[in-house]
Amino acid sequence: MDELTLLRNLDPDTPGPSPADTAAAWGRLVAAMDAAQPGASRLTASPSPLSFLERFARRGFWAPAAAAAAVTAVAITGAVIAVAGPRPPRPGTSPRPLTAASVLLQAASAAARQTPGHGRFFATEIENIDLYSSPANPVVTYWLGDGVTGRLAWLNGRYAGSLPQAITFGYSFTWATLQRLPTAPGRLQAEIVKPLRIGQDQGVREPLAALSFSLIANLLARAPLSPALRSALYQVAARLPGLVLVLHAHDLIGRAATEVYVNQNVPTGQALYFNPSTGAALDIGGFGPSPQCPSTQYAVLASGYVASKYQLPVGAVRTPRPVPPLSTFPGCGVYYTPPP
Amino acid sequence: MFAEIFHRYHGELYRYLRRRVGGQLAGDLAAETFVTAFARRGTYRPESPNARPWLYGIAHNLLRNHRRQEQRQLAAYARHGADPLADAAAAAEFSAVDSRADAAAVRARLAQLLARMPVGDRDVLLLLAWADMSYAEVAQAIRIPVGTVGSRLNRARRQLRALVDRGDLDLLGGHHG
Repeated sequence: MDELTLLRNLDPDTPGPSPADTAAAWGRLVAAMDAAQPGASRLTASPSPLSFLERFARRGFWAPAAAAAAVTAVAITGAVIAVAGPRPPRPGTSPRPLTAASVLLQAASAAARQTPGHGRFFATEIENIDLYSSPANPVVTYWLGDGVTGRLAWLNGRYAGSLPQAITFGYSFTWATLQRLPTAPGRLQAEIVKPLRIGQDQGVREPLAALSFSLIANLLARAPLSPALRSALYQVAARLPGLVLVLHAHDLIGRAATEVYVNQNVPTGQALYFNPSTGAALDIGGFGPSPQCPSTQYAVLASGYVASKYQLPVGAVRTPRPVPPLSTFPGCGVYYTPPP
Repeated sequence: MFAEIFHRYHGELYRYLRRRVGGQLAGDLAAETFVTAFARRGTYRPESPNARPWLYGIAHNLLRNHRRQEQRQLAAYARHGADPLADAAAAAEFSAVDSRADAAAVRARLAQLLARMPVGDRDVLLLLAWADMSYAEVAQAIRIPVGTVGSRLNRARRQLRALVDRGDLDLLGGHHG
């Protein structure tokens, strides 16, 4: 055996990329293509993958003669690329099933294309819905301040106060921390996991995937995020195990959305409602005693950068929207009892 | 055309990067390679027979920023004799047999040797061994003369030869010839 063979036998069975890895990489490439030439990735107008490649050749993207000779029908694996919705299947083929990961990656691609915002504060108007308690669901507005020293200023219409230093979504991120988070999904995931592991060391029992998903959902819904960071958060979410996809869902105030949650094999959990075409997060929803039973939702009514902590974001409504009563969800009118 | 390039090379590039820096970073670097390649598509020479050297060259530039992680990956090989992220059941089976434990020790010494090797020598060696490149392709990928590929390889092989000459090679099994 020669020396190179010796080397080849060092970990020769290295696994290839998982479908999620491939889809994530493809999503990033698509985002880059679209940034260079908007609409370049859209396949809805293209009835077949081959014409997608032909369109690239016509637009002047390089087409090496050698590679052109090797072009055959390309199977586009991984993420759903179309912005307006899934492509209709070609005759004689069955449509590729959507997965939670692929739809999250679609949202990542859309988020990367959004125009970045700027402002001294980031305001979010939320309707706090709790089906198990008072029917009055207050509308509150949170202002996250880049203010004087990066403090959070919180106003709910009755009093103004400030919380010390950190933007808290269960775990502390300051405005400056958010600006510095990496946008490469692997590194971002490592950064997100750090405070979650500390929580687990301190007795938090939920699985890391569920905690990660919950934190990501909160950041997507309530934090000032650059397009790149928003995209990266969706990509990290797409990597998590146990994702469940609910297409054509509606939130509790009747808005159409796509829903994803992490299946923890327990009857309660948290779901993200979002728009894959824009990357906007609409709701963070809690459910129990089963995934079909919503219990709470933070419905984002409006959000955006503002100049002061007295300015409402564009689209703010100030009044709560009606929600269906708990009785309309069969089998859901019981409190969750933890297993012994 | 770029979609074709992605689907043809993403898997193998990922595997190569995973052996260099581990699973967690391999996905990011593989994705970043294709994004960077797209941004630099104007630098690709269409007369080249294939895009592999160009892509691996971009990947190697990105690897430069992750030498520390590469050292950690090699240290992990040295400790465990295998990728610590590999299947736990296979690793358990691997360590159960006495003769295989010796093979693990050889792999560990191999990993230590790689970690101590100059970066330029290691890059040449692993592109030949793990990416199955020719001398010309390696030269194109990391932009050195073909002659330099040969001299770096000879230097690296002399160090590996010392390991082979100890007579441990039969314990490794796997591919022969």
